Amino acid sequence: MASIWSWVREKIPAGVEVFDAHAHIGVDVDGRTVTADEMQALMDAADVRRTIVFPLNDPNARDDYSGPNEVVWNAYEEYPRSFVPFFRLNPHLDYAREFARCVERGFMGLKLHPVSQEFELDDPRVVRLLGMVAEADLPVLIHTGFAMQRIVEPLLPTVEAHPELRLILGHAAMVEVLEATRAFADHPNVLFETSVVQAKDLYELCRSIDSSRICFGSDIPYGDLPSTLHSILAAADAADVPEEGIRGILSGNIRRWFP
Amino acid sequence: MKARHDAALRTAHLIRVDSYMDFAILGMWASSPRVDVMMGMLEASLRGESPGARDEDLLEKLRALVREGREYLTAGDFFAAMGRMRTAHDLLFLHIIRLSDE
Repeated sequence: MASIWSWVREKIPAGVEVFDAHAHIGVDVDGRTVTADEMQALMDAADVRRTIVFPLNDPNARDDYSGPNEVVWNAYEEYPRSFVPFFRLNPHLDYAREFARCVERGFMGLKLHPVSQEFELDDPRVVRLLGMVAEADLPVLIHTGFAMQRIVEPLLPTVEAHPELRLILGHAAMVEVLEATRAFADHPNVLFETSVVQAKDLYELCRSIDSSRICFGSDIPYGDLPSTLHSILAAADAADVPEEGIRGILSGNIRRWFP
Repeated sequence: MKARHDAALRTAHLIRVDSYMDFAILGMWASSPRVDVMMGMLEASLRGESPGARDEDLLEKLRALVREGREYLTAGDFFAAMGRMRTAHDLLFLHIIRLSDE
């Protein structure tokens, strides 16, 4: 792996402060855990400067996710220059109070996971929640990766209804990546996030939409920084993305929302 | 008769390796009790010279990554193992994509 990592280091343009748009802090029902200190150590080892962090599929989520959200907030207070805190909600439950609390608290975005929380993207409760997110002018990251079976068709009406909604497609709409690039091409507030997506999918992504619409992610603890950086850099290299485009993918594109 | 190392034969060889890599990675995700056998089959598919020795640089990297991945898996570090396998897989099919454009 050492030679691969050296290649990755060489491919990161000079002066780029890598921004990871997808990582977790807390505990998952599958037993994985990540602490704030562990996340900071991983970032330091890979020279990553900032990371969007949010809860895992936490067994302690109970009614409103407030417990796991507070774990993320405490991590942010410990490392305010490193972490960008997103909160997580379960659309099946009464989310209005926790939504208001997190907005008031200062969280910088929302994370939704249709597979873990078992909902469809055109569920009326989800559509209403995304409208609230747009009104609050918060970005939202939605899992659109492994185990998803419907992405573009249920999501597009909401994006069209709220063109101001800043939407991060977690895992780049993996199974529908090409269709998503077509459907969302004229919606500049939709970003494609690259974590744990195979490089052949990322090659198709890089060939099919402007690089200004792509942002790097790791999905720690399910991905790691060296291999996920390699995936997007190798795919971008094969797709002849210019250096300026690489700068945007690794940092500049997501920094437009989090300067 | 076609050359012994034309792009079609090189691609066929690499697609074979890719299928064994798929088996191994899926076996890892599914926690298959046969995952070590699948890793062994993958390592076997990587042995020997590629057609015309045209893809040796790639195969050397794959052999090293798969060997490391198997070692991490045996040691119980799933995610370190998966990182190696994911990187090997990426290198392999990006090479195939480039080969298709030669």
